[in-house]
Amino acid sequence: MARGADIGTEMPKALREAVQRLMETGGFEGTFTLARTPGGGVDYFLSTKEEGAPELLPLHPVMPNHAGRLLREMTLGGAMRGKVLVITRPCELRGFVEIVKRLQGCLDNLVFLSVVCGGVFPLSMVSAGWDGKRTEEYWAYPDGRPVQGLRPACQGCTEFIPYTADLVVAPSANGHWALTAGSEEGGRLIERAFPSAPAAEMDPKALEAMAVARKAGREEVLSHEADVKGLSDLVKVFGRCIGCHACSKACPICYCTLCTFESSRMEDRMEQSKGQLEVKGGIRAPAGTVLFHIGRMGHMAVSCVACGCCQDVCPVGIPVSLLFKKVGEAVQARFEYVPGRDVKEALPINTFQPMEFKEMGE
Amino acid sequence: MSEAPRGATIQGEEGPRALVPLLARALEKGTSDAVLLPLRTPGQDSYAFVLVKDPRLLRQADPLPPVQTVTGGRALSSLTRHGGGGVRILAVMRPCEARGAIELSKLGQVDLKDVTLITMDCPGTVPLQRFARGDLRPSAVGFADQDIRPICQVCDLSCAAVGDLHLGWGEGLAPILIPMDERGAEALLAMGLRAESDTSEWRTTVSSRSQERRERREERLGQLRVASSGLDNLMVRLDSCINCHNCMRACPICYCRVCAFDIRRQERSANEVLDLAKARGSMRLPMDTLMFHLGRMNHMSLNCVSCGACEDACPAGVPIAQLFAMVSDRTQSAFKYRAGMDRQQRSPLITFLEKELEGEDGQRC
Amino acid sequence: MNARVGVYVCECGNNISDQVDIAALVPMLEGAPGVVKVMSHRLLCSKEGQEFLAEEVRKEGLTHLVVAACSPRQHLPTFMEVCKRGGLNPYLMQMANIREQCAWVTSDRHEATEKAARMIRAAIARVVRQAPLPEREVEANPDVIIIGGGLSGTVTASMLAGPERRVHVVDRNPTLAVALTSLEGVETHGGCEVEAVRGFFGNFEVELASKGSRQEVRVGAMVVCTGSRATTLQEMGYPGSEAPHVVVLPQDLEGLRPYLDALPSGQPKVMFVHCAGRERVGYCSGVCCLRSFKAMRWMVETAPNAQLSCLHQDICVPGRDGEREYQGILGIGARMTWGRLTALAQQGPQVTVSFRREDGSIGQDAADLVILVPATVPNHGARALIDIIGVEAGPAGFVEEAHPMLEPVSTSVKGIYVAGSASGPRDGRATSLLSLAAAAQIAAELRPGKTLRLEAQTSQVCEALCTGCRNCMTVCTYGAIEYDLVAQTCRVNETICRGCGNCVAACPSEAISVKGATYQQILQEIKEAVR
Repeated sequence: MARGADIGTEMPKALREAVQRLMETGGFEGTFTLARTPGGGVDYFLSTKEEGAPELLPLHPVMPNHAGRLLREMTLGGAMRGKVLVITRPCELRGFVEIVKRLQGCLDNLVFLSVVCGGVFPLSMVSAGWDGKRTEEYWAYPDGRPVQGLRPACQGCTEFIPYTADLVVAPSANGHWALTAGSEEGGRLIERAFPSAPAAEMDPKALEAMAVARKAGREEVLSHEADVKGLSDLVKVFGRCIGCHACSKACPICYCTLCTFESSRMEDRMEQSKGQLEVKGGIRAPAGTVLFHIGRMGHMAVSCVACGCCQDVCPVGIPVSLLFKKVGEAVQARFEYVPGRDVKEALPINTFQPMEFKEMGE
Repeated sequence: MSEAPRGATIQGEEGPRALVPLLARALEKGTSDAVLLPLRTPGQDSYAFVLVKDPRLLRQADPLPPVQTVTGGRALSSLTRHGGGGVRILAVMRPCEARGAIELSKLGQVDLKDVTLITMDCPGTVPLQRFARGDLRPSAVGFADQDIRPICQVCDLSCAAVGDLHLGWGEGLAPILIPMDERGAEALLAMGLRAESDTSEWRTTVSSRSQERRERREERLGQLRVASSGLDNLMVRLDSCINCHNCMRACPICYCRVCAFDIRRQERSANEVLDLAKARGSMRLPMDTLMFHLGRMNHMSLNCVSCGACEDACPAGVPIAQLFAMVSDRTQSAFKYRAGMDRQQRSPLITFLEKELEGEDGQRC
Repeated sequence: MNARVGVYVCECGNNISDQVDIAALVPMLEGAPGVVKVMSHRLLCSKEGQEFLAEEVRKEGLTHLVVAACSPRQHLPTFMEVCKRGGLNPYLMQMANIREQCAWVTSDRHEATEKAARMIRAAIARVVRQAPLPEREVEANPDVIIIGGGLSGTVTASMLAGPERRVHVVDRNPTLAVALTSLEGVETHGGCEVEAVRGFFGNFEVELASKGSRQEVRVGAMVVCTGSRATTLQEMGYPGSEAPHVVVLPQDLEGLRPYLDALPSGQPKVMFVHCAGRERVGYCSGVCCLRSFKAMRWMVETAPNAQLSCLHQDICVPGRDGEREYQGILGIGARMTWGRLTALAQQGPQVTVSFRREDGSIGQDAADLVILVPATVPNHGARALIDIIGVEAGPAGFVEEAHPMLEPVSTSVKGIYVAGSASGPRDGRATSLLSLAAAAQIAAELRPGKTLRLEAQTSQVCEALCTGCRNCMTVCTYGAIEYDLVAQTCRVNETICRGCGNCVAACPSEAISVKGATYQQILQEIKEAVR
């Protein structure tokens, strides 16, 4: 693999300058990244070199929408005609790859720049008004110290190294940061953009420190309310669910135009409800609260990348991303599958092996 | 009603909890098949509407929780949109929720044929997200509470007696259950009560309360109107919006299975987006945030009951209920309509008069 | 299957080619997606042109056709026929109007060519998204329904009934005149009302309801013969009109007998008051003066001792016999006074009649019996019926004719006619004339055996998206949408639907669309046009 280039120590300034270089030399028609909104917030933009482009804030630690979902909406009808630099976090890239496997998006002409990820802050923090100082503190995460206030899903995320990115921003030795190549295309881009930068590679010690912290984080977040055993725990944790389905709409994997749980099939009819009313003495209105979540798990847990977008948008703060993470990891382990690891790897749910689940009753 | 209604004073608990024994009795006697009202959730951390048949479940009941989770209109719609099935329901909810249910019945989404609506004076609710996070979790809200949601603070219909029965209470007023129509009168009798008490004290209280609120509504929404006047200002108010459409899904009125604005999301090709981005320098994604809000206002502002479910559901802190209230007040008054207040008045969106909007001097929202 | 679009550009003699650079245009279109052939032709609508085009469709195996020529208003049916002859479904063809919308609106050749190219590319983008639609024909129903079994209904029915045409007559009265019930080929429905009307000319479905039962009648045309009535004392609103010796002139003069019998002996004064209720209704009913004079002559014979007087405004006696009637009344010595009735009062055995003279002064007179000659107003239930069948009402509430002189028996709805006093106060002769006219029009326009082409571009409902809110039903002018109680969604009656698209505009869920004019089809056409 081609050499990585040292981009400096001051983050996020060094990153923004590196992206600038790539835009100038990479022959890109545009870049898909976070940027400053007119009102002073942060959101995803498809930005170009033309006049009127906003201040770019690549890898700013928020995820207002899952980039993979935005890319799906954009490339569902076909590929970009020109090269676009897409700057996203590992889970966003993995989510998009899972979407591409379902023929809902197109990877062509998209060059991915990702990062050894330090996590993002929840949306509620952003809307509560954020001060920029925390951004610099945040970038110290490769030392392994847990960053306060991150999304719970991020706190427990052990998949923080991107699999299929062309370019990876990674912590290098001695507090430096490197832009490393994940593909040949990435290598070429680095050559062109940083022909004389000193070489730098991903620092295995930093990766190790992060892995340790995240493993501990995972234990922590999957306890408390997320430590659900059995139906009555599920009923309790989803008790305050208002059935808004924001989780499903934020999810990169949920792509159905009309979700089966929103179709007329799932609408209650009093003739049936009357019976339930007799038997149980009462029925929740609307009904099917837990069914929706279990059903959604059944449909997409195999591809859940535990990004945490679902929990970010939940108005009642249910630890839905952690529950889905837990179930997702269990299902994926069954198939020895990591969602988004490789676009050529078939989806377990529509791949049929002659012998599966050899051990029953587990 | 041409003369002032009379009501039945209820003994027992103060406030809406006084209703619970009456509801239990209605179930036991079989004068109603079921009661729809909020119960505490299994985790005791929230409230949810439950259609109750077994009176024992009423032990968990709270007719007027400090927070609005699913609005009563949506709850009734989920039960009766395909017909009420002849199940006689006593449905207990706030005036704005009942108004939502009434609007939904005009849109074919709620069947009120066998439903007796019981409304009550509402002191307001606290923001759902703060309640869920635990940083504002009262067990009840009083009429003097200052922490209620911004949309509640400007609500002039918080004591609107739109139900078949209406409970007046609060501020030293003994709970009084007032029948507002024949169905309510029958229900009252079935509860073993007689409407013999004078309601003038309640009427005076409600009148001054709603007057105060009306003034505040005009003032605050007027200020908002100025602050969102013109596209640039409106975009600032909507700047944090991530176009998630949660407001639409929480809204009791928005009944479409697939929102037209969700269908729009998948329509542009990547190259169209790129061309647009080039023409303007950049394109914020997802696109059409403004179009979504204006379009939704277009589709439902004539039925908006200002319940605030939208603002409760918004993950990005957009004052969306207030923006919609600001617009809906104007669009509804242009048709001399106030959503949910008159069951007989047809929804202006689907009523065609040969002469409409005459004399309107183009006052804009 | 890949599209094979053929694009044919007509020069229209020189109408188009004078402005649009055809030679430059053709290569601009060749690369468009799906296009396999682009050609120009001097005059596609000519016999030779049409044959050429049909042959092209066959020869090139075209799956879609774009004809860039004149306005569809002129030649859409022509080129749809060409498609059929070429073996192509006519809804897989799109016209681009490069004459009226292009060559004829600019003298800038460059502009015209550029716009023509855009329009044709847009038509290509549209046509590849069109789906083939079946063409259906149905035989027009020659039967007729007549609402109202009075004079006009009977005359109309008798003219129309025949071996090839069934006539239904509906009346809310259970007992109908023998003159009507004895007509051959006429089916009477006494004691019935019209509840709903669906459909269109040649294809109406009329729902009738009587006590407890419903019936559906299918007809091709309808005639409204619901007549009129006298305005009532209450409607007139004169103070004191409830006095016992005040009566409204009845249709049947025998109705006056009880009042005549109660008259005092001697020479009782009987006053006829004209124009009763005229101020309230706002028009002269035109037939009442002669009615009054006939009644007065009857009175002379029936109560010869009575002293007749007449309080009147302008006398209206048109026609052959009118003046003679009037002179006759003057001849019998009736006292005629010009005056506008203002009030009545029973004072003892007599009624005091107050009136305003021409000069504005108030006058008074007394009579033992006051007979008010009433204005004519639409019959009971006219308003409701007008709403049900969807015709228009004039300012006085009568059924509005399409044109008072040129179309006196047609209404705003094709296939629904009006005769008799349902469209305004009429005397017997006028009623007869109008009834004959309506029958004649129907006989000419609805000949047995006539076929109707049904609309191919009808609406359709996507059941997955339809929530049953029925907004579409509210706006459908033809009553072509029904609510299916089992599926709990709306359903389009494809026989009645005219593809007007009102329903599409009214549905917030986009659950209903017009075939051949879907959102995507139109959107892609627009996008290509503005690219």
